[in-house]
Amino acid sequence: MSGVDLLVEYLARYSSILIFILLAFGFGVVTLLLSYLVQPKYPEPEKLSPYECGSEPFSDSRIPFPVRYYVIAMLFVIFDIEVIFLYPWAVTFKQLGLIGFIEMMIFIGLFVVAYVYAWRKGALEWD
Amino acid sequence: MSYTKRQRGVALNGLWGSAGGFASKADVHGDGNYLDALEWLTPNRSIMAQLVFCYFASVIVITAALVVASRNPVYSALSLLVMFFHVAGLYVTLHAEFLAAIHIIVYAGAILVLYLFVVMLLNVKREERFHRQATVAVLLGLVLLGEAFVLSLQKGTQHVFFTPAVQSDTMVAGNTESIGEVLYSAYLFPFEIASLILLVAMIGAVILSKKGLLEPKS
Repeated sequence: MSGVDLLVEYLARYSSILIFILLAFGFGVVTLLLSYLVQPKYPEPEKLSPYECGSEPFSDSRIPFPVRYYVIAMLFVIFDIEVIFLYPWAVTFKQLGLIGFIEMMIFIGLFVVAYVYAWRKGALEWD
Repeated sequence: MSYTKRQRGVALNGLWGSAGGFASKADVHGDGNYLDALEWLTPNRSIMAQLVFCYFASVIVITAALVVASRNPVYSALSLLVMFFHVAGLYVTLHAEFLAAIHIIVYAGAILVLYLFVVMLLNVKREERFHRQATVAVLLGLVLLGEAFVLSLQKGTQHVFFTPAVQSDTMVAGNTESIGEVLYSAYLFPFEIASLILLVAMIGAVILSKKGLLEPKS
């Protein structure tokens, strides 16, 4: 068998995912289209305004974001990557044996250092 | 072939090499019954494979262009999200399912959030972000284009898009297991170095974001 044939066989196993994606998109499109087709349309300026009820917006909603969110996001990325290294380790845990366990403990130990540092310096606090 | 009989030598080709190994898996799922549904769709199977690649590649190129061309930075970020998902799709066609999942988790889930936060942090307005960098952009683009051209002319890489990274029937185990076996034995040192790099990144993030850490105590 050539590589191309193998690829097609391989991709064919993803056909259920493809059908799922098509169904998900189709559901959204059909729902929007149907509601657009069957809805009664009586447009008025008041109804078309962004806030039909409640107070008028008095300033631009796009204000600068506090930097604290960014710190949390950066710490999240770093710990996200750490957790990803745990996946293949957990799958091959039995084959790796004690050495694999020690490796991962060193790896996690360095992360504990980073975590303690961030905690002690107050990076996890909100103010 | 059983899991324990797998040849390690193939796995040592690296992460990309370890992405292969579906060849002997193909029969596991019942003699290729799933192929029947595709027969009427594609009389010529190679066309199907090329169509899959062309779909992913063209969407990647278009969305990457949109990232640069969009006036609204939030639209740029959303184009980038679509691009990340299609790059993950390319990984799947290369039989690197683990990398595909990681790509979505890390890039679409975490890195893109950082980009969006930067956009909101700096409160980038629509027109402000256009700088005059056409000369640098064209030069860099030409260099990358030449690199791609040279790589595509090299022997053995012409059909890299349509073939698995390793064509071997000796590996049966899953993608994640192959990566794990190699990563924690042959590539142990880079793995531990990665931990150190992440530690440095974390300290850098804390120092840059917390005010007053670098100032001398009075």
